[in-house]
Amino acid sequence: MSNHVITTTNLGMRYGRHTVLNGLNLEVPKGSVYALVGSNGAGKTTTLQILMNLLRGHTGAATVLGVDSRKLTVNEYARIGYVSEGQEMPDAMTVAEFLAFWRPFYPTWDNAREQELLQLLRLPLDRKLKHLSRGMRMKAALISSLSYRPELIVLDEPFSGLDPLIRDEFIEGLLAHADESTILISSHDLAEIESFSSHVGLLEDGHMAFSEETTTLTNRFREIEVRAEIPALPPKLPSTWVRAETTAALVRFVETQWHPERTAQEIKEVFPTATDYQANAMPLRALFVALAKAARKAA
Amino acid sequence: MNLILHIAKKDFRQSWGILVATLALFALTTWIMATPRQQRNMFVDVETVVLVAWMIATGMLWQREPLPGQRAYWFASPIPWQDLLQAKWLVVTVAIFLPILATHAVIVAANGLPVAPNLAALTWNAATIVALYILPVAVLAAITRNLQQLILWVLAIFAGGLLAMQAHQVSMETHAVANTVTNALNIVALVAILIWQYRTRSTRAGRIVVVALTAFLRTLPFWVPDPVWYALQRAISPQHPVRLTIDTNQVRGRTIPIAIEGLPPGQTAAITSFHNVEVTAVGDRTAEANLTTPPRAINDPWPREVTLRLPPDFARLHQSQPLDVSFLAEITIYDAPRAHSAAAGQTIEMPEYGRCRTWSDGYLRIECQSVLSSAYRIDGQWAAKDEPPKSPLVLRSPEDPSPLTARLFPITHWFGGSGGTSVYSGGRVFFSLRKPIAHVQRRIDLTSIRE
Repeated sequence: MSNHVITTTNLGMRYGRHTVLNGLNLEVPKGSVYALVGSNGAGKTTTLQILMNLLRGHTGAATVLGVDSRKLTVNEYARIGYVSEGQEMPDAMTVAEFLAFWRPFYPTWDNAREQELLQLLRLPLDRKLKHLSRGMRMKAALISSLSYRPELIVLDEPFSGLDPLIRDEFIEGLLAHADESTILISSHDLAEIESFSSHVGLLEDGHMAFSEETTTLTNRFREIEVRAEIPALPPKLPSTWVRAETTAALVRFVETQWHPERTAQEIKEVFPTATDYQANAMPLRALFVALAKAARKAA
Repeated sequence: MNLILHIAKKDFRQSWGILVATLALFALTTWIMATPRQQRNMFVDVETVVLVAWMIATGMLWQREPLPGQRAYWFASPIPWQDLLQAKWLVVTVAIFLPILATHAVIVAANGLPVAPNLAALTWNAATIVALYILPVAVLAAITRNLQQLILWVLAIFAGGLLAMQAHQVSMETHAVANTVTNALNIVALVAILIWQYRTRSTRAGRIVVVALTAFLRTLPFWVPDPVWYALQRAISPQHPVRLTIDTNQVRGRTIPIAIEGLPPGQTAAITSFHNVEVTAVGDRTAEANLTTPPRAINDPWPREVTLRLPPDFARLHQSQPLDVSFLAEITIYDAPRAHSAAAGQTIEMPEYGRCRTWSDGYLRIECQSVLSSAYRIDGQWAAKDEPPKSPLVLRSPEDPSPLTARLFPITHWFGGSGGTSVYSGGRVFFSLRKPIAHVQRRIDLTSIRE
């Protein structure tokens, strides 16, 4: 059996003449917290909706929990928790009614876990959903999606528009009670997901720019500062360097395949007058900004 | 089943306000309908209000779990669409169908009519109302996002239907079979669309199909040639000896008498509608004359004979030519005993209803100052054999010494006009084939008998 909970192969989707997904290949390992990132309009929501069989892709295929996403049945949905930004909720229900409504549909519903989540996220049971703030509604949706211990949790931009306090509570609730689950989370805010994602994939122009473990990713990227007095950058630089720029006595670039010895050797070869260099670890946000700018420049 | 009940309970909890309001309106309408006609004229629009309330309740109920879009809370959840759909119908059954059935049964019983033998007819009646008024709204609710969209769609479909009717000057009453076929096709198609939409949530395709279906069915009675409908009518109608005849011996001057013949003993018949009369003079100067029958007062008995009168100029110009006479008639055949005819024409004093006049068009009708009532016969038995609790009307016929006891009750029509159903007649109005349609087309050689 595959070790991947989600796979997509050459997934394509277009709205009219606008291509949203263009041969997307995605693999979400079992037990991972996979962050699907990309700028607004990159196709993250479309991807998740295809995975949940809310949309039909025009080309390619997707499997979720080993089943073709177009053939998901109630059996699979009972093992999936799906929370989406802007999800239309049954506004007339109270939180208690909302949770009570869902219970019979999930054989694995855990009342104790539901209570724990309610306490953790501090939701008023007697309040109607329409009287809750956006963040509180997202919390209610999260509780209803975690209480049955789903094997897969799919979160579509769950933090969008949430204030930091509620966002932290949301993440805390998610991580505290999703230990056995695989989580696929889409976001355009990298700072939020960096702290807890185990894998990250960058969706760009409808295809996956890269997809790997977060630690591997952050390990292989470094912002390099080289002390060297050069009049201009050499015309040819190693292909793994991006966003190279120079000031009076400093050359700066991003190394996308950081390896201490090899990178040091390449610096020595390109900048023979270099006196010193420094390799700084990059947060995901800086990393993606660098890549995005490099991609735009190349384009 | 448990999940169906679970969803239905949730819907009842969420929709109790509109459902209670609808039931209250329905009760009010029933009460108004049971009051004398003159007093209820001012409330006549309550029927429309009930209909609108039912539609809104249905729309809200269906859109609790909307189908269009990708953002409804229940998507990507283990709610089986079949259970969801059945739960919605369960609510409709409890909140709309059963109240209609119960109300009609209560009215029937209150008027001394037996409920049990008529239960099937009453059930059919209530089911017909739900199928023709609630099902379309349910389908439109399934392809729209919210109540505003739903109302716009209902109005658009309604307006489209009116336009189609306006565009064709043919009375829908002349197409009993067309109506039957249209309604049957409509119901089957709507059920199919509803199931398909719940199964696939293909909203755009669903909308296109609904528009196409509406256009198709609204115009079906018009673009299918009349002879097809008549042939279908003849094919599926029971054979009946009644026929319309033109006795050329009786043709005088500009008048052409048309009469019912072949009526079995014990039955009466009437020409209840007479349409599309075309008289064509055949020969060198072929010409057509469209005729209409004289207007009939609302309470006049339907005639057993119709006399066509040719326009004077037409008769003068074409007096030496044979004529083709073509018309469409509906004949209503009653199996009421002759005693009713004998009992007709009496004037009687009724304690509660004032001076009443009896007349017969097959059924014995009693028109009082304050209420128009009828005595109906159901399943060969008079509805009220027993002494009624109040206002008995005992008629004795010289031909039939046994007294006929009839109970007065108001004629209750739901939603009036050709869409009306009478709770007492079993409500088979929409699917009724009781009225044989005779499409008579024959040539009369008038040259020898014209003056």
